[in-house]
Amino acid sequence: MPDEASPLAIARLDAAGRLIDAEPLLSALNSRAGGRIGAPLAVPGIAALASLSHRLGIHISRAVVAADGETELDLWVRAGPDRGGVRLEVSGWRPRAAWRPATDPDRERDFFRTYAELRWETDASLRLTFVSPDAGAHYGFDPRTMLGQPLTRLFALAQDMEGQLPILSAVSARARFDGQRAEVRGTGQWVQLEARPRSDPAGRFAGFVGAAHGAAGGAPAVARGTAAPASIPQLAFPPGFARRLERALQGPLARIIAAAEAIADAESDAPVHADYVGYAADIAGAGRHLLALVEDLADLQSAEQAALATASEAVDLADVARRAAALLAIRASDAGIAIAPPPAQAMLRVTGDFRRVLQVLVNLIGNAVRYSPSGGTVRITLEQEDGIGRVVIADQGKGIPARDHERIFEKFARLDPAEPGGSGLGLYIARRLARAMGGDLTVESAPAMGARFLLSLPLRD
Amino acid sequence: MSGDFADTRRDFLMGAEDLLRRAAAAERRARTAIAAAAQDFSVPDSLRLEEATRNGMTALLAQWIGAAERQLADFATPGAGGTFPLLCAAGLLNDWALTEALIGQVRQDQLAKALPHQAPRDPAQPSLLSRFVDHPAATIAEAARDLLYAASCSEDPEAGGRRAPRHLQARLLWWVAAAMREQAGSRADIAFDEALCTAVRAALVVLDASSRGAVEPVAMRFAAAVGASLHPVPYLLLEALRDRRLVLFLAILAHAARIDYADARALALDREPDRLLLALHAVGVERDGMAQIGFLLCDADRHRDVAVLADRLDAVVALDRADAATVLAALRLDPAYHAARAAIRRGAMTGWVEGAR
Repeated sequence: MPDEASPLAIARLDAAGRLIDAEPLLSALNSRAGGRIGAPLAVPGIAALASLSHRLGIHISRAVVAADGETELDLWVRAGPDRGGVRLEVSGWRPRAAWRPATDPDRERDFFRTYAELRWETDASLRLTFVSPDAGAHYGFDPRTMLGQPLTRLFALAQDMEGQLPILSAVSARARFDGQRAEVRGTGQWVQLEARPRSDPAGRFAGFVGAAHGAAGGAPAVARGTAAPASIPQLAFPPGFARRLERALQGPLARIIAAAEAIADAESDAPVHADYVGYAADIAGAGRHLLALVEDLADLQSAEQAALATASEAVDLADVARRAAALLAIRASDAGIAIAPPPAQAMLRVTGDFRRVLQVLVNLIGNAVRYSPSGGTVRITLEQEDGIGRVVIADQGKGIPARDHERIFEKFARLDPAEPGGSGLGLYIARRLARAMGGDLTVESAPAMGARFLLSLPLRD
Repeated sequence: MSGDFADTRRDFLMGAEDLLRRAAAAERRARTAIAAAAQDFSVPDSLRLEEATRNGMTALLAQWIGAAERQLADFATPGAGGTFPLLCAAGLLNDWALTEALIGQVRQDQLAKALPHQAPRDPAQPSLLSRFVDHPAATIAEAARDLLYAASCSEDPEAGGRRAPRHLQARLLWWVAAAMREQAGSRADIAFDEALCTAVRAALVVLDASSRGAVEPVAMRFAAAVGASLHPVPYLLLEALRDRRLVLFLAILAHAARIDYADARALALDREPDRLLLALHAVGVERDGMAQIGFLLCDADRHRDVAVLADRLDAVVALDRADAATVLAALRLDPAYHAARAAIRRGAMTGWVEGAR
């Protein structure tokens, strides 16, 4: 997907699809694929797009995955008519990473449906294109008069504790937001807005899919040096219900997904009609969607309970780290990965909630194991400075680009969308827990340099 | 003993009549089954319904019938269940107009859902309908607002289901009423019949008055309000499709071409691009616009072939506009005329006599 920083390579083809000239990046890729100036383009995906554009006579833009030796490149290609031939603009030029932020507006919308009475959607200019028709009666406004109007006609936005409007930052960053407090204009009722951006295939902002839920009463705990965490939407389930629901549904859903995938993956000589292969793939996808939804609900309820009740006790980070490593030892060794915990005599006393710290570390070490190459090592080390105690989980995986360092902590930033397990809320909740305990969770990483996750908590003497 | 013999013989005679009656009925059923099988067998694979479409049609029809049942709820027999099975068994589904409406709605929804999201060229510019909501002319602004609201309602499952098109609503109500009468059985008398008929007529009046659940007529009213004076039709068509407002696209096309909404929809749902391209050409869309519209539709429907689109484009553009308009002129003829012609052609095709409707 294009962004301002990615390089752009321009090329021209003649009316017969032969390459006239090309800027270095594209020229090199084409050469490596066996092509040259004066011959038809040798990169199949780009050539097909160029041919289509030429036949239709219009500009077309599409994502293309180009094989380049051992790796695959994510490209964004724009093709358009130019003096009888075709002009190509190719951007992106990023290796296809294992980690891809999940983009699934339908999942967000389903999630919102579980706890928000008022859902809303806007176009790219933040004009309302959808408002829950029946919410008007509940909140005291007429949905019909709000449609087509700016979002601010319905919601009077309030600044957060740092004087910012989260929604504005989200628009410019094309990111999701939550914790935007607002008054339903003219009614005196306060709500918390959250939304997720919609993107077009090029990755450009195409509006928000959002929800509003009643703002919780009372001020939430403020973590040192950080903004007040947004209140978590209240699920009207009895305690532990969502987790039990998740366990009950996991088995049957896993079977549905497995069986559907077996059909979808059927070899072409098996007598399965093409349409049914498509349906099977749909079933598998819907099954995964449902599983993810239920996991998210369970995690959300956990986070809700956790945020309400984090104990403030003496915790030995070294001890918790060793326990977490032990819990994951079998999974790690199955994957051929070693975990190097802190030495047996190490100790680092901080203030926190033992169960929550364990939960966070299990999550972090589990991720590290998942993203380490076979034969690699996950190292757990301890640091302290300036009244902060820190445990660092370091892996030797593919690393995380700087632009995604904040995004991975957002809701639903699923680390591997292809994997059925693994909650999209994991890092989001982990950071919330860390901050609820008066600490923080951060990451240091660069592509091909592995990743280091740092859990910081206040030191205790 | 002789008395017993006489009784047994009488029972035996009555049993025999019953049996013969049953045998005759069984023979009729067997012939009907063969006739139905012949029709099923003769349908080429390429014309068969896809499962997804078939399921969508069943679900939609259940909604339409459910809506009719709710309007006549007073006459339902407790414990009798819904009227759907009864109507199915009676052959309700083998109805051309009903099927056309069901397929049209289901495939329209499938296509609309599959259209890609597009970011606007100018991020500060509101989307198409939002711009019209601000229009100084009150009729246009109101019409835009009505359309946004109707679309919102149809997207929200809790806001009630879809409604059948007006020309089918009356038929469905009568059918459901009749089915309810059958379910009432001996409980019903002439007074029941009279009350039922009155209720159906009252329900029709109510349906005429309300507009909830019907996006298409609202879109047609908007298309009429805007007309061609404000913006050129080609521009509106492309913008509507880019904004994923398929219903609006069809309404604008229908209004510009002076044809029914359902006809415009049939043109757009046709997986062969010829008729739609001719219609677009006739209402003044240029080659570029046709290519972009065609391409968006191909992106949204994997059964469409972009290569075919590319092939046809130049041929259509080369045609005289007036010639292209002949495809529309045919559509403008009286629907009853078309229906009668179609029925005659169908009758000649199937030659199916047994159990004729």
